[in-house]
Amino acid sequence: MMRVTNKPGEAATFAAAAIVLIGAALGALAQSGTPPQASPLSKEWPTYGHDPGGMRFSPLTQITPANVDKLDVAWVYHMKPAGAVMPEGRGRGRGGSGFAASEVTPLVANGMMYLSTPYFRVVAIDPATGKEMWVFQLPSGNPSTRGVEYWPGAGTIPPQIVFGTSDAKLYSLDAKTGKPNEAFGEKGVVDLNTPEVLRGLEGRNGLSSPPIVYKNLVITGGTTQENPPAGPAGDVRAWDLRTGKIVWTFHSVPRAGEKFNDTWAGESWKNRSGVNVWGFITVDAARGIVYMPFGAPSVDQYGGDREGHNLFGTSLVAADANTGKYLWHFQVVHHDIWDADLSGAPALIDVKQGGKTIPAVAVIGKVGLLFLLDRVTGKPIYGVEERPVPQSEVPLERAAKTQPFPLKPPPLSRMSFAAADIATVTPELETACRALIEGMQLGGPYLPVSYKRLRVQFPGNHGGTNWGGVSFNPQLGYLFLNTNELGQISGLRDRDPAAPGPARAEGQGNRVHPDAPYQGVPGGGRFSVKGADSQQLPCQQPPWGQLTAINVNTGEFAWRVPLGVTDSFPPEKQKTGRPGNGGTIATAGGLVFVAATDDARFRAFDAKSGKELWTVKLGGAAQATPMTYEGRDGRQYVVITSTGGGFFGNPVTDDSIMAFTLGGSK
Amino acid sequence: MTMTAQRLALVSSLALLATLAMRAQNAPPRPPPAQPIPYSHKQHLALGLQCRVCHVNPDAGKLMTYPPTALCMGCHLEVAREKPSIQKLAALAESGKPIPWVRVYEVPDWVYWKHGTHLEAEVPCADCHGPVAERDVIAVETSVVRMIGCVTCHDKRQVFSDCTTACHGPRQAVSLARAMKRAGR
Repeated sequence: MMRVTNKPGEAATFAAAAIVLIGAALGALAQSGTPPQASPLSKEWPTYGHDPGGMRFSPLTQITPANVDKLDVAWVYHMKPAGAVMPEGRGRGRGGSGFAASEVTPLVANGMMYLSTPYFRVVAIDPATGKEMWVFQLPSGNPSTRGVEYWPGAGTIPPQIVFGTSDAKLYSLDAKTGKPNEAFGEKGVVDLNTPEVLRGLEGRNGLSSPPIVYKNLVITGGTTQENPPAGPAGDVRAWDLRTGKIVWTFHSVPRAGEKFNDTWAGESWKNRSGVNVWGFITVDAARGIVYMPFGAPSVDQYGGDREGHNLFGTSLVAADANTGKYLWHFQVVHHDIWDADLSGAPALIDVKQGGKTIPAVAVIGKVGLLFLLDRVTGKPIYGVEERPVPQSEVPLERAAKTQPFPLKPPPLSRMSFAAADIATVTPELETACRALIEGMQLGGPYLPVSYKRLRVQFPGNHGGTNWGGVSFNPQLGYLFLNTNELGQISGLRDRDPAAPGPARAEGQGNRVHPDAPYQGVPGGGRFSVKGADSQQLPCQQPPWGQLTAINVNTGEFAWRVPLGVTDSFPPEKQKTGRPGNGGTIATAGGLVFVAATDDARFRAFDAKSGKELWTVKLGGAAQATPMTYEGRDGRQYVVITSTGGGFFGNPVTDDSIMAFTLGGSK
Repeated sequence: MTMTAQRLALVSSLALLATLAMRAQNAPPRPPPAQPIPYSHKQHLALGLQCRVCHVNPDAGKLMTYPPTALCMGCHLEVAREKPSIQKLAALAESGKPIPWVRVYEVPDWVYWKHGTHLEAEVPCADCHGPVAERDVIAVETSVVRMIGCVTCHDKRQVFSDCTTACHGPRQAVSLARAMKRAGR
């Protein structure tokens, strides 16, 4: 499953810097007792997850529960270039403002902020003022919607901004000037669509999330495709940042002769697409281990043509970050037919048990089950049991007989639904929802797609928890995550043999195998009804979105609160919680910041109690994870991207990168 | 269903799946659908006809339309009138019925898409439908109705292509008002 084509080199300067940072980290986290990440205590935000292990924890303490209500806007950067003409009135009448949606979390490194924009540009801005410093206009495609990565450079190569694009290019730009690094690939660009990945098939392997840097390597996943099933491989690859040459490839679907290939019936592994990391990879820099959260195989809600557990589908895989050599894996969902991708960054944290500190990795995917594993061995810390789950009605489908459940903590999201759970928030909603579920199959967890009828699946194929993943406060031992409560309706029936073309989805998106003997049952979609505004109204009882703190040292919930409001409801009923995309960050100041919800708010919570301390309304729903840093003026800034858009029907109404600080602009 | 019938259904489903699975591995493109009247785009476009003469997009609508039978008869009252296919055409024209053409390219029903937007952007017809002017029979021969076809072109042209607002969204089952109506309220 692994092919080494080169070996990574060493970077003396980076190693020296890492030693200094590790020393500082050891001082601050002395009680942890485990080797820390390369730069966990940066006062900037040098990589998507703040540290390569994705804790999203800042050591800054200027903003606290006592003063967070004094946060105000310091500056706003508008991503839409002056004079840019964006199509208006497109997309079924939505998104008609001429803005484009973004999920970006900016970086701040060496005194400069970097971000990708949905206007085909990567930009550097002054983190103290929001002033644009340089712009790189892409010749084609869009940069990854969730952001970029920073590499400190090596030898004569200065620090670089590295990012992928929607059309499968990997760029390396001089962080100071924005000019492409001529030594990297072809004039600063590597084509990710290599023949080895495309395999002669149509498709591509673009990047929607930033890659991760380890030493002089940049490690990339890929978006591949959900449909059709044959297409680009979801392999993870490492590239030498000095040359752009490929260093190693990890086969996400084991090929013939490779271990675990027998988890695919017959030749169903062959040319299989999906099983890709479209979310976030993390690295234990001290141990040299890379953690790859893989998604479901394609087609991701039908597995009749791929009997077996289908490794490494919906699995966390640990590999040697230097060589790509397999170390261990943990499959969260066997034979995934729920589109239950792992996409959030596997956060590398410490768990304290009986006076010992266990280096751990927190794994959560769309099903909303959190697995805390020893990150060296892959063994569950709180135990996992295989429990029997419902079998499929669809004649050709062979659902796994059992699925793994952690003994602790409890599920983070609803995993089943019964008629008694119908939403009664308003009489109108209850009536509508009761009508909606008539004739539908209910149940769960892991209710497979039904046959000749519709079923309600929880969590829906958006999760649970999506790419927002988790943040971690090592001082408290609390893991924070926001979750959605949103079901999905779907079903299969026999295909009309007279109908030409691929099998019809009938409202079920791209989840129907185009060449299988089944097509969708009409009426599929989200388990919700449209409300009076853009916010949909889920058909099960609230909460519809929650923020949870988990004490990783006990495996129990520390606190849990609804996250978000339904604006169209009367005030006393508004606090339902809302679905959203994007995640949390934690600070040493004792706060948790989160936006994400479709109510277009940005919020701060007390990390110890879960009390909501600060809320601001944004120009558009922020489907992004915030970040924080200390500016050169000594002030702590908190930044969120506000554009609207996302998967919950929010209109795209803004293009703002908003920086908040105590007292606002001066 | 009896056990035997279930087994038969399973066997036939497996056989169909095997056949279809072979097609999925980049097998030959799907055959062109049978049309009610043999029509050669190659022959007609060679006469100087333009796509838009026959295929009209009504007011930024989703689909292009087929020509009214009367438009065909503008020439075929005289041209090739003795051919059985033209006689079939004439009979349809006389009855006032449209020709029941079978659509070749069909965008999946869950994709927000319309021809109008692409016509406004002056995307050449051949970019999506291939070399129609060289074809007697039209079959799907591009990836335009697949996501890879959409995003590749959008990336190349750097056209706004946010997945969820431009292409496909949350797909709620039904509006509250519609659900209430369904419930008889």
